[in-house]
Amino acid sequence: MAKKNEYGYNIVTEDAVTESSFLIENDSKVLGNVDSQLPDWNVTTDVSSLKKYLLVAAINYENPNADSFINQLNNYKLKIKDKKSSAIIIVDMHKGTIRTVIEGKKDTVEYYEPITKLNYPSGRTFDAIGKTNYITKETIYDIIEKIGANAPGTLQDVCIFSHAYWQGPILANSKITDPLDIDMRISDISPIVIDYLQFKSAFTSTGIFKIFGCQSHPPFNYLLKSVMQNPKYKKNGSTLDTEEFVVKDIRIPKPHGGVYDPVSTFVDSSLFTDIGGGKIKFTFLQIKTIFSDQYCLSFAAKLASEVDITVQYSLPATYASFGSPEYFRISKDTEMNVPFFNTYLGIRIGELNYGIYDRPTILRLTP
Amino acid sequence: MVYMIDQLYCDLHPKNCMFSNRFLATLILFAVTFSTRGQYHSIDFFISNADSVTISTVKYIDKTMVYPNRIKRTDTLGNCYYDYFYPPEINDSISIIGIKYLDTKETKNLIRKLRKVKKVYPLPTGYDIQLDFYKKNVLIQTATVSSYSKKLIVKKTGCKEVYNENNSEIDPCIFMGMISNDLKKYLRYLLIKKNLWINEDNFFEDL
Repeated sequence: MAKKNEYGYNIVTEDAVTESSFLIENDSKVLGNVDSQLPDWNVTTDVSSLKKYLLVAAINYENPNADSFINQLNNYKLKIKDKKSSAIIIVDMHKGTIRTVIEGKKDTVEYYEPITKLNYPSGRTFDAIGKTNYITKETIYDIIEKIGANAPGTLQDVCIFSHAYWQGPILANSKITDPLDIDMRISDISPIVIDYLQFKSAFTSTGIFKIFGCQSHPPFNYLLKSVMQNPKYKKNGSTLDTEEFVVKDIRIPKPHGGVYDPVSTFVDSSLFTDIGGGKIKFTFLQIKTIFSDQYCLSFAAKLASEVDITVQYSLPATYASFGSPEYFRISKDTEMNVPFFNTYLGIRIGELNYGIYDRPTILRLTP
Repeated sequence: MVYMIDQLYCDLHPKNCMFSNRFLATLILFAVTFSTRGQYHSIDFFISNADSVTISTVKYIDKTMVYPNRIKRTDTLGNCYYDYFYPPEINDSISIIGIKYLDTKETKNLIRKLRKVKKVYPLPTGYDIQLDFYKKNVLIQTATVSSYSKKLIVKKTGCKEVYNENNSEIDPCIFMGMISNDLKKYLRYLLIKKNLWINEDNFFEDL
């Protein structure tokens, strides 16, 4: 059943899929045997010339057994217009599969360990439970680099459907100190972890790395909301840099007993004035600097600036939600923050109110 | 489209145009009513009747709560430069700050309001309000709410998910959605009444 491709890696052909899937879902003992066939996605001759989409459904660790992120992925897949002339690589971390659908029909599947509720014995934090053969960030970086090496200029989209924060996509909610750290992190963006040249070479000229999770940080959301609700803030871009805004320096999400420290603790002291009475004052230039910094300090910004690819990710002080039909989008409750970034910081806005991170913008906004 | 059809009908049957306009008005009224109602979904199937409920305030901490910072510094020659501070990762922790029982009327009202929710739900994972539902002193269900995002997660206790052949849940143990404005107001009323919040406390969108 399992065949080796031209590079000597194991692939499972379409004929084997039905039987293997059945075994995965019905006989957990079989999983142990999968370890002996270390899978390693590779670019076969069948797909090397095709345009590629790499779609990753990570773990919704609030409900690890649900397939909610794969539903989002499938909805995205439906919108791909040229799927009959492309290769779509579907990474399902919950099932532990990497399926390559070639021109809408033939497919190959590689099996890894599934990640289920059993991997979250303490609630929401990933536990490898003594196993190692999971799909991790390295698996995904590796696929991109292999495309860069063997089929450059063919990767159109990388889509990561996951929770996220400034550090990067939270693929399984592992810890940085874990022997097996699955989550993507800013520290990964280094020539030691990623081959920048191969990574960049993988993408087409319009290729894009899309991170669908959030960049929500309530104190910054509160700060931006307070400024934008002030009559001094002009939507048309005419607010002067010297305009002053006074904001209550409160703990969020609620004034008393809020879990976050006050807004001032998250901002460098050179960027506000404490005017007493629990209030802080900003010039509009300081506000622009604070949010430029937040834009430039994220995983997306570092990936875009270091590797020189275009990244789409939520802007600071915005978060994603599931809409109807099921699809990630910037939530109605934070989308009002988006025009600030375009009007005052000149940041391009992508699909569904996500921000575009690219090297020229980051260089322009970095002091 | 409906308007165009209506216009065409009026052109062809001017005598019956009055009837047509009434029909159009009814159709629009129906559509508006339907779309307004459509924002909320009943989760009657999911919310169990409980004989007692506790409401708690929660301190939820996870790694998304710390944030990097750019710090302006001056070197020995008086030149300004910027230093970047990336905070260390913190471990997840969830602790109850305060907890109170609801009386029978409050329990009934809460369960009724909890049955109408929005199916759209925000992704941020934190929460700061917890509702525990008991039947004959046994915990049967827990609901968590974020005052920041209004996210609602309802979990059945001791539940085993049932999947179909496509590995999709057909009998879920967890429901995720977003609370209604009515429930948001009622939760704030309860939290203040039970001295778990003070009067200045509010949901993020109302701060």
